[in-house]
Amino acid sequence: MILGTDQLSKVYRGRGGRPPVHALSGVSIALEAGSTLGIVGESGCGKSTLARLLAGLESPTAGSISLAGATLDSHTSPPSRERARLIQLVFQDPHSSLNPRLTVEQAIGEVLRVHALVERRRVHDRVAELLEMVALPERFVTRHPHELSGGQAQRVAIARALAAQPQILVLDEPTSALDVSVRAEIMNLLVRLQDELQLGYVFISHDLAMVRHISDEIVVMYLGKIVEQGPYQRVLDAPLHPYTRALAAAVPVADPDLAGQPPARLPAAQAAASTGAAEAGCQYEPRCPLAEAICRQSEPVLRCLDGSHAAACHVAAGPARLTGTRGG
Amino acid sequence: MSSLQQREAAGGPQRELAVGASAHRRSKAQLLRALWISKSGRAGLILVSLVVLGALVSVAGLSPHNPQAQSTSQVLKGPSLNHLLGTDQFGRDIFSLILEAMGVSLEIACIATLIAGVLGTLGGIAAGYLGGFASTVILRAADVIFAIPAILLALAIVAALGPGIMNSALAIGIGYIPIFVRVVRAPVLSLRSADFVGAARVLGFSRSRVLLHHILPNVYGVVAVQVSLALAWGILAEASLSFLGLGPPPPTASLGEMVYSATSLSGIAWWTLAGPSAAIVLAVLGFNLLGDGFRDATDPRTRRS
Ligand SMILES: Nc1ncnc2c1ncn2[C@@H]1O[C@H](COP(=O)(O)OP(=O)(O)OP(=O)(O)O)[C@@H](O)[C@H]1O
Ligand code: SF4
Ligand SMILES: [Mg+2]
Repeated sequence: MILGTDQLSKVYRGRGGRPPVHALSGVSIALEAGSTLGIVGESGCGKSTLARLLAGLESPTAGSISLAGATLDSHTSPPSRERARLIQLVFQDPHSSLNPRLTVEQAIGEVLRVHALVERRRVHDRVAELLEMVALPERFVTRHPHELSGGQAQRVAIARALAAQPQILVLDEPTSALDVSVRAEIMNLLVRLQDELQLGYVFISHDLAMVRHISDEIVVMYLGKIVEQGPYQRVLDAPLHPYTRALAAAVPVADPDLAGQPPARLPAAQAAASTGAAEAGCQYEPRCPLAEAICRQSEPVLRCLDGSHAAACHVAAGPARLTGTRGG
Repeated sequence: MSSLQQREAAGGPQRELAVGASAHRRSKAQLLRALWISKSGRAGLILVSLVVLGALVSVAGLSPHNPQAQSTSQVLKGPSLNHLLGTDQFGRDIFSLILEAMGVSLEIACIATLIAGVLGTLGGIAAGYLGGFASTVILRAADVIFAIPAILLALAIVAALGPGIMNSALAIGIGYIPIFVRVVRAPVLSLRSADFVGAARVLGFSRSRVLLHHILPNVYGVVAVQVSLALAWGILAEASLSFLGLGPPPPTASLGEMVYSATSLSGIAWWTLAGPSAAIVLAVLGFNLLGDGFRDATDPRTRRS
């Protein structure tokens, strides 16, 4: 395990007298070196919050992160140089993630110089090399972000992250701000880079279809909590949690078993993150087609129901249901 | 329009630039071109160049007449080829006097702007970047200064310190500090949470590098706008102070003092009032237009490509 979190939580103070926002509650994940962990969930479920915590941009309210074997104290947040060499973040909007005033060479070269990764006179060559890795020609070195298309800007952002030679990339919806036509190119690029560099990916998306192609493990989040996690085939082919099923139903599937089921339509989005732990019961209950009485009384905890495949649902699977009822 | 209204119109925070909005990087030549393309930028550049050129001519001793040379035979003569803007009650050449006074005016406005710009920008950066307690203290202090009408504040400071070029500059500069604080704080605050600043932090760059290389360069545009507007306000405020007799003492030439002396003469010698008044208007207008030009040139929303 190169990256792991233990019961990671983040609470934002409510603005203007509103209650605090539990953006992330007790999230534990594990990423193996060189593999991909897909994180799926709808808007506002805390995906970007998780990304920022992993990258060290913010410090967790509770819980801890371990990186390459070392546990990072939950209250030291400023990303250090060592951390930068281990983990990098790729943002959703590539243009806003690049300093508008810096050329491609200045932006990437700065990383090389700050970390003293190459000799001063080799900076240009190394920048060109990094651009080549993301399939951009050398002449792009003099461009400013506003002279780049979305896809090109995202490639530059990826090249800049790779300049630090990290072992992990956290990709926060790296394709959702891009034209549909270039999404596949970026996905293919990411797959190739992972092969070439043995990178570990935390790949975040609101779209189950997007993560299915790249993930080894999938984590499904709802309102700041993990509702299902497991190996990608299990989560995709035999989703346990009603929320995952709803997400999967929104995706065209080839699997006849799944296709035969009545489509679990996703009820109108109730986007707000959990505003408090006060309410008992399952957070998904208001939208859940399978909800039973127990669902309103006790909150389901994440349980392994099938090997490493876990879900947080009272109804999802038989044997665990009993335990859940008793526990509640 | 009162000076305060003028000041607020010129520099109210509500008119600050869309942030980090910022301006793609452009060379100085490109910036000048963008300035030239904007109508107000071009008018401002021309007026400001004229004003500065005039002051330099006087400093270099190249004025048509010695500004302080009095002549009993030339008292209160109207404009002529020899005396372009006529002469005053001591027979001095008004045009040459204006050039000299403009130099003094610019000097005071520049020092005042330097004081306000440096202190206000530092305060704005600290308030925006550090946040928390430091921010609260700085903003409260700025609010206190801002609550006092600027011209009254300047009057009080000069009254306390005594007249003089430095004292006028200090008096005028202090009142403008809060405007720099506010105008700089807002973009720094929003840049602090910009994605590219987050990216810089994740890349392991130090706090000072993030601030100096990634945040501040995106704030220069608003500072340039504000410097122009502060210079305009400085010239106007200096004229007001010397009109009220609190400017630098004679023999230092001063536009406000010239206007004051002319008010009692304007019935018989209109040119004594017209020249210095027009000079003040042109200088203030020039710097205000230049400020608008900088705003156009650095704001992507109004920029033409
Ligand atoms: N700095 C903050 N202060 C207060 N609340 C915040 C802050 N950042 C995020 N939140 C709240 O936390 C919740 C999770 O936000 P987050 O950005 O992590 O969601 P997300 O899953 O990335 O959504 P999206 O798909 O829209 O990007 C949201 O309800 C959001 O409003
Ligand atoms: S616990 Fe109940 S309400 Fe929650 S997802 Fe499962 S069935 Fe639905
Ligand atoms: Mg997000």
